[in-house]
Amino acid sequence: MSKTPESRRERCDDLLVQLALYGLDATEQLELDELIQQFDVSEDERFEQVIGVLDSAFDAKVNQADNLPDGFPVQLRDKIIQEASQYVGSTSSADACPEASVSATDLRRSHDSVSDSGWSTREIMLAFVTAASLLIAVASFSGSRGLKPVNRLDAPSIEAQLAQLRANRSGDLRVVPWSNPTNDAASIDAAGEIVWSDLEQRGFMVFDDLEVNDPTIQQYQLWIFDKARDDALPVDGGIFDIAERGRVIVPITAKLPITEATMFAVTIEQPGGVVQSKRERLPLLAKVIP
Amino acid sequence: MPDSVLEKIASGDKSAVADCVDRYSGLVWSLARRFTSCDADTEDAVQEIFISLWKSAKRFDATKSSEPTFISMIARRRLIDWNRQRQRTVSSDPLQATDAIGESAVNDPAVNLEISDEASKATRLIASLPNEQQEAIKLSVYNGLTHPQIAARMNLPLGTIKTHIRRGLVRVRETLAKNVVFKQGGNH
Repeated sequence: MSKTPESRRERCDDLLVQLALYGLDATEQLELDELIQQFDVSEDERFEQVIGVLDSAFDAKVNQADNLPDGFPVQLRDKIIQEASQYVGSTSSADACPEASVSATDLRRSHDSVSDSGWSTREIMLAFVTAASLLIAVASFSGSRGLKPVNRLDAPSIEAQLAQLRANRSGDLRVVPWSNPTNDAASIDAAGEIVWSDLEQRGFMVFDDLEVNDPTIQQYQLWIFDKARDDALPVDGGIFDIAERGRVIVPITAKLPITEATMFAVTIEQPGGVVQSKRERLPLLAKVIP
Repeated sequence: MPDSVLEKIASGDKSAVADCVDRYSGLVWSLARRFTSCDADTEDAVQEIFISLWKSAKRFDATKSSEPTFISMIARRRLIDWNRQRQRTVSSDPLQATDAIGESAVNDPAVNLEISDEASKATRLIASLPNEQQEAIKLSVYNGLTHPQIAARMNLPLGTIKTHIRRGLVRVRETLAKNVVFKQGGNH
């Protein structure tokens, strides 16, 4: 049965409703992604906000301050407030207004730490030694020196996992396009994005047309910048190879917990990765804009 | 917005935390109850929602949505994830307690005065929809029933239920947008 554009648009809206109400499985999310692209669906055309309005409208207690709902344990209130101290007000006074402090200052500081000043202190060496030890341990355990590239046709499960991560949207999903800050030849034709969730501590790198590497000569390595750590101490996100042009999806394997990812950088290193990057080649960068 | 508790939290004002919990615990609690089947799960879910809220507070933009709407969106996303992680389905039994709350919210003018402007408009819009669209939307949004469950309850084909919900929500969304309740990008 052929489907008209109208019926496909209705299917798109049905999936958008389902996404907002119940979430989608990986197959449905893939279908929705295609329909969104086909119909160029904007944020305004989604249903999450209107359902949010209805949720608040249906709840008579929304604006009744200082009044815990029936069944809401006082101990739970205290626990929530106590836990909040880990997340609220943990930044310095200079960061008291995150919206204002983010763009220019953070971008410059983060970028400088990679391209100009950044990673060469004794503390960094120690951190990298730790990261390298973990890296070696992982490589020894798995019998592989790095992550293998995973292509759409070879391993649809990775595609499905990525779709599932996008669908789950823990409220903190970061989807950041790659940029080529140094006009490196490896990424001159490259595009793609990074998809990461701090809450779930997992994510994926999506590459389109990143240059194929010979793993016996060099490998790509991901570094994750964490707001809770010094910018000079990025966390090793794993080494990986690009076996062929086209779309490649690589899972991120952060070697340390990430509190709040602020930037992702891909460098080209010697086989097996490095403990301290000399930043001789920095083909890709993705800066998270809060 | 000077009294935005989320903006205070985003700026690191710890004193706003208790205010936020007291102000929105009702909303979060009732949403969590729709997605969980026992008090212990509800409490766990509520706890996770507030953690998500602290992390997401800086993304709140008063020009795009009200605080209750933003919190509802964060809460619903977290609850969907929460349920998926536990491989559970949304409770098939509408909660009597929240049913009562919902009806009073819609029908009691005094209560409506306390609901935000956009929510009040949304309530009126829902009431203006054809009966079957109203019912299907309430059962899905408010009672947390799945489409097949609604079809069984209303004795209508699944496709008809999807159409009722889609058309009703599109109408509410478009009308709210025309009334500049949604302020995204100032395009309306």
